[in-house]
Amino acid sequence: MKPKWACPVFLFLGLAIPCPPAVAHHGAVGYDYTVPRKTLKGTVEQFSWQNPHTLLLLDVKDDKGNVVVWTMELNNPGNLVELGWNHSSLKPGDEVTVTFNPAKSKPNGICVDVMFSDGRKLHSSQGCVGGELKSFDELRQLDK
Amino acid sequence: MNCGSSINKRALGSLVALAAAMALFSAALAAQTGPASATQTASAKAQAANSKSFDPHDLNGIWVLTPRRQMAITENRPPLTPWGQAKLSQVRSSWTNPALGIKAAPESEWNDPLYKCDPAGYPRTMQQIFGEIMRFVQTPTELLEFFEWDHTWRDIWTDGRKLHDDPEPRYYGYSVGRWEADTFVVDSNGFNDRTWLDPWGDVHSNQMRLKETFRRVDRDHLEWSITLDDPMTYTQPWGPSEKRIFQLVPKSPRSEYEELREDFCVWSDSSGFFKDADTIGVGDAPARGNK
Repeated sequence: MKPKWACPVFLFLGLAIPCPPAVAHHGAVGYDYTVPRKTLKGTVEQFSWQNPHTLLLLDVKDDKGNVVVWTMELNNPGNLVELGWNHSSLKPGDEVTVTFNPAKSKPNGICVDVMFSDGRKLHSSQGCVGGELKSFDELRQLDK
Repeated sequence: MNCGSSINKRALGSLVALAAAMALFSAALAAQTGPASATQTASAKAQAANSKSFDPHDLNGIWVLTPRRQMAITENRPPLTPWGQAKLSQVRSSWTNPALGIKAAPESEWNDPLYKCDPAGYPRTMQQIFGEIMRFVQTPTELLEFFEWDHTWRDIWTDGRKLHDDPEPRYYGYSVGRWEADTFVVDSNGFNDRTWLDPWGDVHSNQMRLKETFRRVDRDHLEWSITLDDPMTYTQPWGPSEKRIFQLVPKSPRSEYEELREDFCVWSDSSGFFKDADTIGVGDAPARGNK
């Protein structure tokens, strides 16, 4: 059973514990939680194991065959370790499928699930609203 | 030979009888006292497990706040002085805490020092969720407290020295500690006023003094409480806080290895993050677009 503090909510520096209304290092207003989560298949261009948030840059071909770099915002490294990741979980060239909440106007994603071709899955709770929707809504109202 | 044989037979018979008697006695004893003895044994084992021969004056180890959370000293902040009010009015936090009367500011106004990778300082590092993991190392002259965040430490001197009257202001202050029975008492001063006390942005001056108590309540748990006295900022002392419980762990749960995690805020990484992940233009540069 996942410890209580490991519940994914949206938190400062990507840390995952339930707590009062909180936002991350930057706000969430750039993400659109009103639309369905998006799924894309792509090739890992870069996996930056860093604070404040680990980044996954994914090369994805659009409908016209053009390569678009999607930036996935993940938890910070410490929290990813707790979620089963490590610094070499992803390598350039890996073919993966990601499911995430997309940004409103840019090729960015948050609250990311990564599925590997062999069926393995990894989850990043960064930006997942979880049970804190009310708090999150308050924040969105605040930033309007 | 016969005589000897007879004696041996008698001796053997006696031994057999003695063994049989002992076996019967043991069986009877077990029948009478078995369950109680088992209970007593279990109880003794439980007691041993609880005590696990810990030394209450031994604080060495990696400790994790349980449950992990972020905190203010208490949620009943004492009245602010005019100086304190002015300072708090400058705070633009990204967090809301109704009990403290702090509401998150619009993102463009946030001025949390940590967002610039400034040191967390003390006591914020202990009240912030990345700082809830720390390690004590005792030496004959001091207790070293290592913090996971910033991969830094403070010295708590135990060699009898006193606090300085006019110490150099710094992020982690100047601390001395002593034992009062089984409670380790820490007095600190010498803090600069560049840090927040907690994630909500509670303020302090360089006149802040802290009194803390650490007590190992059993082998695996350490109790911590803190009181803040800063007459320049607050009209009365703030605290003592509730007793927070730290649990002894073999490693940081956030580390890939058997130790504290090296967890720095690195501005070159942070600025890169803003460049690559900024979705609304708050960062240093727009997000990457099409190749």
